[in-house]
Amino acid sequence: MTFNAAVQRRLTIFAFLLVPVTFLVVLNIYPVLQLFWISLTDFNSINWRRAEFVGLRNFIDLFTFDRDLLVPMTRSLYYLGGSVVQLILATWFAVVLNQKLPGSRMFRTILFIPFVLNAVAAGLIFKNFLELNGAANDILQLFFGEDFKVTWLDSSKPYSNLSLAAASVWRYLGFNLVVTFGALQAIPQDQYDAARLEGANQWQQFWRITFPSIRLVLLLQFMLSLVGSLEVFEVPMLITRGAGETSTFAITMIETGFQNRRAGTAAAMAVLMLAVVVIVFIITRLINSSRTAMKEPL
Amino acid sequence: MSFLKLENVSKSFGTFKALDDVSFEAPAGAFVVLLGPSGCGKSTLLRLITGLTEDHDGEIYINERRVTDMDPKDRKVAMVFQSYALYPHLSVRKNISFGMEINRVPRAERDRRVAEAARALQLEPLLNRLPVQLSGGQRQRVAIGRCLVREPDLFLFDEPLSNLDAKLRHDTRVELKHLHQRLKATTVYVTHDQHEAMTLATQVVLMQDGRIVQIASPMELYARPVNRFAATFIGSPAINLIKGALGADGRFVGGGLDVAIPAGVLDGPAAARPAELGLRSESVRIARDSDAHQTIAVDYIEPTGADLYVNGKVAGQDVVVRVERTEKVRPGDHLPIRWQLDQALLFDADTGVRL
Repeated sequence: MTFNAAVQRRLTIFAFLLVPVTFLVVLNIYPVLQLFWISLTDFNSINWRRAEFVGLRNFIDLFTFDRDLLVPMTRSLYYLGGSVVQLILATWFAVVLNQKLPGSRMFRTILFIPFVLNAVAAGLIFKNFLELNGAANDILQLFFGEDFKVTWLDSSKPYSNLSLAAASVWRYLGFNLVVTFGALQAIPQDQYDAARLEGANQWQQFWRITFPSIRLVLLLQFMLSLVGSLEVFEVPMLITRGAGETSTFAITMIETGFQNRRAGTAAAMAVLMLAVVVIVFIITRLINSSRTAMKEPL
Repeated sequence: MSFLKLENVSKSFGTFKALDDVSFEAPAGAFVVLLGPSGCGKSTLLRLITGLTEDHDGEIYINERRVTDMDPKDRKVAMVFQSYALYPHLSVRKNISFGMEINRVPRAERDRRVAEAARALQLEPLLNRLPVQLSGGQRQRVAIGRCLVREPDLFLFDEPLSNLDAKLRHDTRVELKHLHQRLKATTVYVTHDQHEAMTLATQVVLMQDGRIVQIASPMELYARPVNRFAATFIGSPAINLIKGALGADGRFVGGGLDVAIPAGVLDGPAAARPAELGLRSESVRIARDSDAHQTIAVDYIEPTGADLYVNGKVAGQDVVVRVERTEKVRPGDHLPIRWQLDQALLFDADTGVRL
């Protein structure tokens, strides 16, 4: 059997798409649809046959007598604050490293390593660092005396979230650094030379040339951080097992679904989070497209 | 009185000597063109004058001030970059007033100077546009405007026309010439294009391998180049070089020629040595009757409209001669030609120095 060129081309496209589309449907689209369905039932995580359709009750419960389940969402603020610090630090490092000083490649690599490190390894490193007899306290004892000890990871205290946010900054800084660094490299050196001739100092060069050129990239990273801070899971899970004050929304969700066997409620939480993420992305896109249309060059 | 003065300027990058003992002076109002092939150090020299490249030997003076160790911003120089280096997120108006804002020039003064520059450069309708919305020529004018408003002692141009198409390049060149004649601003202009150098310069600094080859006015550079490099770099098509020998009797023999060199061609007395005779394509006419020096076997003809450039072989060597467009020449013809030897240039075959 022979095909003409047009049919052959279509078959090729179809063949190439078959595998990824199958995976997408089976592993992504189907579970998401199922998630929506489960959020409308009282599924107990075990017996699908006994699940009953309950309408929007899971959602109503979340905002009434299950309100405790939403409390961990406020802890996202620690991580959001952390990512702002992280973004500022990354931008600062990127600007410094962009000045082609000796060793800048090495520093870039060092700052990027935590990001490519295995999540468990990164978690363990920071856990050791912040333990009662860990390096953090050792270093501080040099300044404040032998008796100085901070229980950085005491999960009964809200401040432990700061420690975890710091761990998160350490881990993800490299990502921001590399992205921002890439954006910086696209700015022609001539612009800085011209500004120097006109008398702009380093600070003015940053605010008047660098910042406007990387503003969109920074905004995008901030939005990613915003979404990321809602979904924080691995850092608290690995360091404090998400106990007490350090539980995040994602951790609570998993506990609700798998330990308390309230899959319907957990699914409703997931849908809620998805809604927030979608809203954030829509806002980003709106800001992005209006800025691009108005100001930015291609 | 010299307005711009460089004394024994040298600059190395590692072991590479980019500039080697460069000295020259230019009077106020001069249009100095730094000319040379790529890699000759002309852009490095320009950056040394701006102060953007540091650490060099020698001294630089601008307007009677020693600027050698000065910060770029204090040198009172303004530069048009090859890429124009406009700030992409700022409007034309903001681009032009950028430096004045940095230096806290009062708003009224800023507006006045921007308006003045915009008028001079016909940028008025474009003031609120962004650089992306401008054509290459318009961007160029904005970059010049940015320099004008700073009222600098010295204008610097780094290959400013190389990003423009041929037509625009010509127009912008004319505009630059007008501008210079009107403002009388002392200018240093870097280019590898001999045509730009010839048309714009009051003084050409020809460079090669980090050294100055010759400093001269364009016409002098063309008529009396110091060596073979200067003679071949300037002029299009390139000068014809005929290998041979100069005799003590003042006769040149070689390439099928045996001719007496007229008085005035040689700078000094004739001495016997291997030499090259340089003849530009226009230093020739089609010979009538029996006064022909040689015959050119025509390969192909380049018509330019005004003239014809006849490419061919004379005594086995490639030669280009310019003839009137009314001449009927065809490939394969054998054309008798007579060189105008009073316009000839003679070079030492070994050193390349003009004799």
